Amino acid sequence: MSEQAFLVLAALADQPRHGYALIAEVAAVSDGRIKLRASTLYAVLDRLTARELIVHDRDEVDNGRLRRYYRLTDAGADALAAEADRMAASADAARRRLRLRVGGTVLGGGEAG
Amino acid sequence: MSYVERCYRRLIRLLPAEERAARGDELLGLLLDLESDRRLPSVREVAGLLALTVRLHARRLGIGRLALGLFGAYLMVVCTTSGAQILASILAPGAESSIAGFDLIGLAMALACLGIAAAWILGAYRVTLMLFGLLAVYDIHALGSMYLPGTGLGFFVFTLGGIPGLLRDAIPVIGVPILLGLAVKRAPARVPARFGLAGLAMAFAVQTVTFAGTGPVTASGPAEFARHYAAWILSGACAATAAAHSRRRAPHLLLAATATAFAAGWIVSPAISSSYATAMAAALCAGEAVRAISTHRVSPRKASAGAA
Repeated sequence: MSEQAFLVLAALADQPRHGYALIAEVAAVSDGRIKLRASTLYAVLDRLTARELIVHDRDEVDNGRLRRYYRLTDAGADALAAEADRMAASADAARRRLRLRVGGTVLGGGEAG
Repeated sequence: MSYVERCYRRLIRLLPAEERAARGDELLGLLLDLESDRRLPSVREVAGLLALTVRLHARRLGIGRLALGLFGAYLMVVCTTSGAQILASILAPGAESSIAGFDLIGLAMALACLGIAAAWILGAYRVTLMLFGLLAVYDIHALGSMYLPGTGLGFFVFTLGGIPGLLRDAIPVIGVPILLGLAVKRAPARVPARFGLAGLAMAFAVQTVTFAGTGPVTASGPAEFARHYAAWILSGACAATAAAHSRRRAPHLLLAATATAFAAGWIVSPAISSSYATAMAAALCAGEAVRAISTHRVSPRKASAGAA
């Protein structure tokens, strides 16, 4: 799963969102590191919909503009949880390895003992 | 209607009709949400939208990895042929070679060609694009001097002698748009580096040995034909062996690689120098294409089986 897809799924975890809200949420979740283009989001939504990880929720028209909402499916929630676990396990493994580094600084944990 | 909206409406018209009908309004609404305070569309969004258009049309037409594989084969043919012929002219300067005048420009072009192939195999698509762009610029100059004399094009003319005319002339016409599409897609070649580089080295060596001491285009005697056939079979066998040791030892991959190698060698006359590289490169790339397609088809089933 690409980082963009992961972040989009994460942005949909709590509630359905439309495209613009998704871009804003992804930017917020990634601390502004990732700012999706409209075309990129379109492609990511396309892929996630094809894999049935998200579905079209509803359409709303605001100020003459169509806003299409998407929501996470159960399969999407499972995939997101699995990916989050995998990433957490990788991060834990990296931290454990860093602690073995003699005299090194442990990420987020002070000096290595 | 604002100028920005008019621009985006025009661009969205370029999308495939079914995509436009299904999600055109959604995409337009999103773009306007993002850029409502702008007087002109941003380059970032316009470039992204054009790239998306290319991707969607490519998907609709069913070209994707297969096209990349075929283009990889084409690239390998051009690169190995040119490099090998120039090296052959160094190793056997007295031989009748299609490179009549070897000089530093020729050496640079040969290295550039080989660099393109190596970069492609290693997946460094940006380097591939850059080198191929340089080659295309050079080729446009060469073509300009040939077909448009007096226009100023072709200020340095050097014929990549060994490359068949059609392939050489097609570089800027076919290659650049495909490579631009590749850059947009951001998908490097999926050829595993080890066996891809081995294939490149083998094709290069076979051609060098064949070219040194003989004129491949004029090869017509039985001995010459035997030599060419031997090299062709060797290339095909190497390709098949490489395919057999690739990451997925699937029988259909091996069969496809072998069949492609021999079919390519058959279609392209063995008297034409590029047949070995064609056989090798086509086998490598077709094998990769088959693997990519089969992986793509298998994955969803595996996923659903795992979920069940």
